[in-house]
Amino acid sequence: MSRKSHMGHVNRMDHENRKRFAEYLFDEIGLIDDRYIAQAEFAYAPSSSARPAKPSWSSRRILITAVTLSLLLACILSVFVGNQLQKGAKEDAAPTAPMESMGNNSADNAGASRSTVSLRLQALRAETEHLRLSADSLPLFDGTPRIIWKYSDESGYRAMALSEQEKNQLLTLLFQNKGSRLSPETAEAVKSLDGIWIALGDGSVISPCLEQSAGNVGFGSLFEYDPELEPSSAFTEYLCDILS
Amino acid sequence: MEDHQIVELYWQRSENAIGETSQKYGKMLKSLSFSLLSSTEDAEECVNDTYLEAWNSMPEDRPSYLGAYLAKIIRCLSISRFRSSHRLKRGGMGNITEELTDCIPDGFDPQRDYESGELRQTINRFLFELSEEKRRIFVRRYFYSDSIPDIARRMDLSVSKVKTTLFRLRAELKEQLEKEGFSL
Repeated sequence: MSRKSHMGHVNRMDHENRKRFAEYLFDEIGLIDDRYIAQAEFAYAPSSSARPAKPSWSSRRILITAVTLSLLLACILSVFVGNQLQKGAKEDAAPTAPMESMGNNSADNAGASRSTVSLRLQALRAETEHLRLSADSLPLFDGTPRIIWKYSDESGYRAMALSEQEKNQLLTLLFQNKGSRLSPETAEAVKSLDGIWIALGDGSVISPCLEQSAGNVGFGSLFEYDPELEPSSAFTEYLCDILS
Repeated sequence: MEDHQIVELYWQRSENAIGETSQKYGKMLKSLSFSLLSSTEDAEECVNDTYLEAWNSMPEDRPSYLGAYLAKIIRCLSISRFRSSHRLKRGGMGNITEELTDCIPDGFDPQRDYESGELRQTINRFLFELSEEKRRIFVRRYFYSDSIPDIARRMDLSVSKVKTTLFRLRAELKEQLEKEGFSL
């Protein structure tokens, strides 16, 4: 084969490979998160005549002050609520205790994260009794994001409201730090423990223990799921900060 | 009717389920399919196939965003129909996949088997980091296959702004793919 025809052959191959990857990429875009598809479905722009006038300097200053005060108030309230929840909560078990109760899971390399989450949830059990709700009365559509969890030996759920900042940070950690995959044996053990969901307030729920996929609608279900992932340590640490 | 109410109709196997779906999403579904197939008859067939697919999949599934759920189904059906007919049309899917070659990371390995869902998660992470406007532009172009003038009109932007934004987004996606190991 001459050099010229060889180069032509290589270029055709390269072009075919690039085209194949582009089509694969195009296919995968078809399976992105439902929320992005829904958001773009209703994409519109307000008409020019309806655009508000640019605020004056004094109006902007008032707005910034109001936002700052609101954030400050939200911080104070969250500290107060956090202190109330933490009253009486003690971590009286060693971090490895749940590991022992679940058997030998050291091979998963996820014991510390799972233990911490389970311990915190168990420790908060008595103090969060007032947060118990039945499945039917869980407010999923009221616009308020919530962290929801469930103890395996209880029929009800516990739900606590999240600030917008907490919700965004949890989702950022969830999307940026993929959890480690559970082995079938460990998944079976984790299933018997607590479940965790982030409800976004618009009806959708996301679980840090499930893979994002078209099969896992909203990658979560309040009515049972088989965990696939161990949440990342970054996600777990932040979640524990919120709950404690 | 709200999405969860329509979904409930499917779960109750009510005759009104398809009618309500058609009323709320029929136009969007047909438009999406037409963008890919450039044929009214084919698009209408895909819409009907989508309703059938939705009827068969619910109950089992209980989608939170019914529109997105249906859009994914019809997109998949339309792409399959496009490929099986071996038609190479101007516009539609051909142009869009050609644009996406800009996103191919340097040194990508065509022989590599990608883990199922790996690329999808990368795309989701990429989209999560974008502003709402940019995300909408990206999804309208590469999910809904809208033409650039249509996107500009829908979002009250200039055509050149949409083109520039898409160009930059493709470069950013390419960078993300390289960062996440989709190259040698």
